[in-house]
Amino acid sequence: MDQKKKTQLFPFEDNQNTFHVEGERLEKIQELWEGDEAAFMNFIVGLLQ
Amino acid sequence: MDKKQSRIDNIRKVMHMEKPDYIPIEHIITPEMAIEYAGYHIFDGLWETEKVIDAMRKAVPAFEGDFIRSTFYRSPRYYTSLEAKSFIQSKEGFVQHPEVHSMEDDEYDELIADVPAFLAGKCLPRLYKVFDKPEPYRSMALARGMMSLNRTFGPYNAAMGQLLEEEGLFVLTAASAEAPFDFLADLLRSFTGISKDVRRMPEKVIEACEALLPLMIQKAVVAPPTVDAMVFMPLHMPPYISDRVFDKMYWPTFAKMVDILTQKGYYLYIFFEGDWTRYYDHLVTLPEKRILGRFEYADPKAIKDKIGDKMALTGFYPVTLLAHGTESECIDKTKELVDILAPGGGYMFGFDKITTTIKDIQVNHLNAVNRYIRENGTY
Repeated sequence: MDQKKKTQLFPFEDNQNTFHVEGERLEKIQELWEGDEAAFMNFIVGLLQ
Repeated sequence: MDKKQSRIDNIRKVMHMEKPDYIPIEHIITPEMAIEYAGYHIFDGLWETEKVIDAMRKAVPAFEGDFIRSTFYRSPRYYTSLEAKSFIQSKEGFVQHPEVHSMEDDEYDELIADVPAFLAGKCLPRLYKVFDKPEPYRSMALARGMMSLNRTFGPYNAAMGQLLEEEGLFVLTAASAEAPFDFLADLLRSFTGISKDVRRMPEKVIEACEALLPLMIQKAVVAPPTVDAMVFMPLHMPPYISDRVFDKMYWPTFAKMVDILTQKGYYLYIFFEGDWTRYYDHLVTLPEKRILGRFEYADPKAIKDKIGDKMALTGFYPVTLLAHGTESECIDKTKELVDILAPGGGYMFGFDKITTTIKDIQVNHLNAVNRYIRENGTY
């Protein structure tokens, strides 16, 4: 089951060109970005609880 | 060992159905109740962060307790800044939840097809009028709402952390999550809406609950799974639905959610609101030694006999007795519940309802009850 549900409003792919990094650092940034996105989804769910 | 750690260790024994050192007491204080206890008007206390902090500083040390379930409150400063329709402060000052909905009955397919997009794009704007503003005011207003949230809960949470540390207390729950059916029934379809849907489109309701499940789990798993970071799950709808609706639409995704969370190591504080007498046989099937079940209207003996060796128990005590009974009636009820629920362990002392006003209790009765537990609740 996918446990990283996101709003899809701010996809990483739309923003990764702004980072100017590659390799492991890019992967780390993507992981953090998607963690923030999942937290943002939780924020929205919280507003609907 | 410090006080807080010994309290956590004792609660771990309760949850694991081992004999604890003593019966833990859930601290009764909520921020709303503390505001009144400290002599502030509820309206002022909920708006002014320094007042709610001062109120908690006065009220928490005034009563016995081994843990607090939550120090969270619905801040009118935050909800008002987002122009919420879902949570509104009454003239008296309490934040109330009117019957509103954010999803129509012909939108199930859209929800099921893409839950996050539907919640973010359709439901949120319908419940928060801030989204109706033209740009750039819409973005600014949303940012202002977040700023209000940070300016309220930044200082408040820091002060609560310090206060609880000083008192050797801790917040028992780290997350609040809903069963998928309850989430659908609350602010999406409303009580009235879901009551029609379960008859007119049961298959869509089932599909929607399944589609919502991953998000409900995601909302629950925000902290590491430890006994002092439980997931709080208040369950709303089962007393109001038929056995058939419960079996087909409520229970499957709720039970799956509980299974997944407990397999991940989480401890759950489940508030079985209302009367669950019809569902005792279902409760037997829930995972063992991971759930603290709080009961509102229930026969404590029947529950203890049926699930008392699997699930830690709390609640049952009618909080109205503290307000309207005599001191000796309050003590008698405490003794009755301790005699039924404490033997062998698996019991924490708590009330049937969450208190929101000081009028719910008489302070001397509460103190007498807590004193009785302290004096007679050791193993």
